[in-house]
Amino acid sequence: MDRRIAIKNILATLGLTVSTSTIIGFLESCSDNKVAEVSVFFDKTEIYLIDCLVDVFLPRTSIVGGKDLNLTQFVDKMCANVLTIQKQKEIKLGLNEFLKKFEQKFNKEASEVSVDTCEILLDICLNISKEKEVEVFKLLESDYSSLSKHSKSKCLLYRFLTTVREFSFLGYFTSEIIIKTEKSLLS
Amino acid sequence: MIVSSLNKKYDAIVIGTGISGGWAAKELCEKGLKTLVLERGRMVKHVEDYPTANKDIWEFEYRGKASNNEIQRQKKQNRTGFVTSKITKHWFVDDLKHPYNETKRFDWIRGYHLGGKSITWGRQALRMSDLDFEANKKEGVGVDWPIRYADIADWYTKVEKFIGVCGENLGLSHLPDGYFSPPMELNPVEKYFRSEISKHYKNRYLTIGRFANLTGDANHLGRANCINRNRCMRGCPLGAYFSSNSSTLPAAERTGNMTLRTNSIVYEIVYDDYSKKATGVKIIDAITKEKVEYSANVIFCCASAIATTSILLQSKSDRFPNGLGNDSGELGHNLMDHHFRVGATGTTNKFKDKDYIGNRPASFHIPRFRNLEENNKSKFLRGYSFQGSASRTDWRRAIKELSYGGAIKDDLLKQGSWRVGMTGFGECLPYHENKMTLDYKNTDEWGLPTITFDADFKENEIQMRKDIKQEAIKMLTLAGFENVKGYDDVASFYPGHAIHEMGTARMGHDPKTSVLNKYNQIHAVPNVYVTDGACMTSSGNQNPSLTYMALTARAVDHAVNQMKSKTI
Ligand SMILES: Cc1cc2nc3c(=O)[nH]c(=O)nc-3n(C[C@H](O)[C@H](O)[C@H](O)COP(=O)(O)OP(=O)(O)OC[C@H]3O[C@@H](n4cnc5c(N)ncnc54)[C@H](O)[C@@H]3O)c2cc1C
Ligand code: SF4
Repeated sequence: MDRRIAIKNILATLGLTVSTSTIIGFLESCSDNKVAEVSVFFDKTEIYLIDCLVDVFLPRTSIVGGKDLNLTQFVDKMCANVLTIQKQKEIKLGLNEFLKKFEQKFNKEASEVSVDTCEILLDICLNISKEKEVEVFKLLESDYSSLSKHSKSKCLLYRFLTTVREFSFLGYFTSEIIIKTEKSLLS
Repeated sequence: MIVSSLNKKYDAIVIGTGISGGWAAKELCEKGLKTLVLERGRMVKHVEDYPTANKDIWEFEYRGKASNNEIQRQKKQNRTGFVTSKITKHWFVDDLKHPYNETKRFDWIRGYHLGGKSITWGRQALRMSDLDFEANKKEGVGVDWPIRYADIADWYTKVEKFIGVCGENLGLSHLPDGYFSPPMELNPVEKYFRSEISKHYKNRYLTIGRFANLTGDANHLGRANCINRNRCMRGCPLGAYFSSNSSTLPAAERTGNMTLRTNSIVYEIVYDDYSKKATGVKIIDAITKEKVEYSANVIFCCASAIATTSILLQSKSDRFPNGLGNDSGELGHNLMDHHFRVGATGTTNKFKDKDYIGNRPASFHIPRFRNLEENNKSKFLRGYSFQGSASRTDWRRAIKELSYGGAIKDDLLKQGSWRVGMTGFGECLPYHENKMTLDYKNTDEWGLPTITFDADFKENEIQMRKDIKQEAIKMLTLAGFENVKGYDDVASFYPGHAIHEMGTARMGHDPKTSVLNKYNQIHAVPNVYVTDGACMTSSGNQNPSLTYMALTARAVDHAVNQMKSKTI
């Protein structure tokens, strides 16, 4: 239950007035199994991957992390309800591209994905030069149908990663606890 | 088609309760006229019916983003990119229920409810000037405005006093001073930009925008000063910005002279050839679909430019086979809007010691500086102004990045460097061929004809846009901002997008070339006044609603005098 202590400590230092039920809400949603049970867009293997990505994107530091705020479920819900059908298709294909990379790199089954392996893969995919980063966003805005086979799979991979990243960030930075943290940092 | 006729006759009927209709209702009622106010949409009670006003972002499902299913019902409203979020979507129409047709793309953004777009407007309240009123005549474009600034100046003042506009007087003839409460404050970077602009240019100024938000110590009944929450579009429980719901409609109600009927779609103005006047209006109840006719001595059309024109076009009679007052054939033509979303952005690493809370509900304004003199050298006629702001970036600065991890996460909780951005608001010329017409084959669920748009921006606007972008880049660069980037959002370069649609029943001197006279009366039907955006003879570059309000107040004054002297 170190998560509960982390949240309690942070709330205490910030002097925040978040209700007990809110904290319990956070804690209830912190069980990994629960995430898989209630996901609507991603299946069990996929949701576990999303959970790992959320953890790598927004790990806990002295301030709560993405998993503490149950962002896996949030990302799942956003993909299910906010994305267009076309984008949803692209996300699923992009996820497969990522898993393909995983299988190639680690010679393991998709179900064996972990935070550590995700970290290694993300380092390869996302820790790139500024120029390459600009190219990625250009690719994402280009007309998909006119792309080469190689560029198509690259586009799908990054569609998946940037979408999960953006929804994770959105869920995190617009959450009650984080907005209040931000305010207290300002003052 | 059975139309039940109600015996009660009113002194006046107002169609629409938005920015112009609210003003017509208040002025008519305060002058003692028994006034029937008809609104096609639902009731919206001030304070009670602002469902999202006090919600925080985390309380909205999907953090405020509209779901894919919801978007399907507001596809055209969604072209704006912001109005259909869960925070404000209830103020904008369901496009499936209220369809229209596009020979050319037109973004018709509407709010069908009590108060109309007065609830969601951006509150920029700028006067037009003689530079605008004289331009058509001088340049031989369209027709001459039948009024000049002196005809409307006092009415602007009357409106500003009542609605409450904060801002700074600059003493410019092309952006006349107004009756303002204390301005909101520019932040340090905007102040710096202001001083840089003044250093580099003789005829360019940066000022805080003129906004219909209450500041200072004037007393506005039932309303409080703005506390800078920047949630105005949701409806303000304090009544701290001007809307019909917080201001004009309560004033009309206080007189005891107003009868308000919501869910009442006006579809025809009834014309009597014997008296050469309109006798009343026909409505369909939006819910029961019952048809009712109401009569009155004078009718104010304030349903917003397109809707008003549609009602006039539907009002056919032997005398007016092409729509009420359409002797000139101009009804539905000369459709205008402003064009915007073109400008530049920049950043600065200075001022890091200055925090920015970011809730000020106002932007800065750079008044028009192009073609102020007659011997202008631009490649285009008229001009544009800029609206913009500077703020410190938040976590969203990382959206277009691939960064991640604990250090990034913690860093994004802190304010980023300052960013400044501005967009031009450009004038659009009145082109006869830019028009709306009625389609009787495709009717809506009430059996009424739908509207077809056939309009686009042309060479003058395209040339102006190039200049807007260039000048924005130049000003930011001269001021020493870094990473200066111009932008031109061509995906939004379509009429309607600026939500300033206007011009389809223009004012003019000559009944052969215009629909309305200098008091907003239909030339041939003097007891019908049109005072919403339909009346505009040219668009200026200023956000137009203050002008609609001033023209409405002036027209009511005229109507009441005419009624007293039994001229109408
Ligand atoms: C997001 C946004 C920002 C804006 N920012 C600014 C700004 O900063 N400054 C500015 O000057 N303007 C701004 N505008 C534009 C401004 O809102 C309009 O110019 C103004 O509301 C027009 O007033 P109106 O009375 O003509 O129409 P509306 O305010 O649209 O009101 C028309 C009313 O008539 C009703 N109606 C329509 N048809 C019928 C019918 N057949 N029968 C009965 N009732 C009918 C409608 O339901 C509505 O209530 C903005 C608009 C939006 C949406
Ligand atoms: S910024 Fe002012 S007017 Fe707007 S919602 Fe807040 S208090 Fe009301």
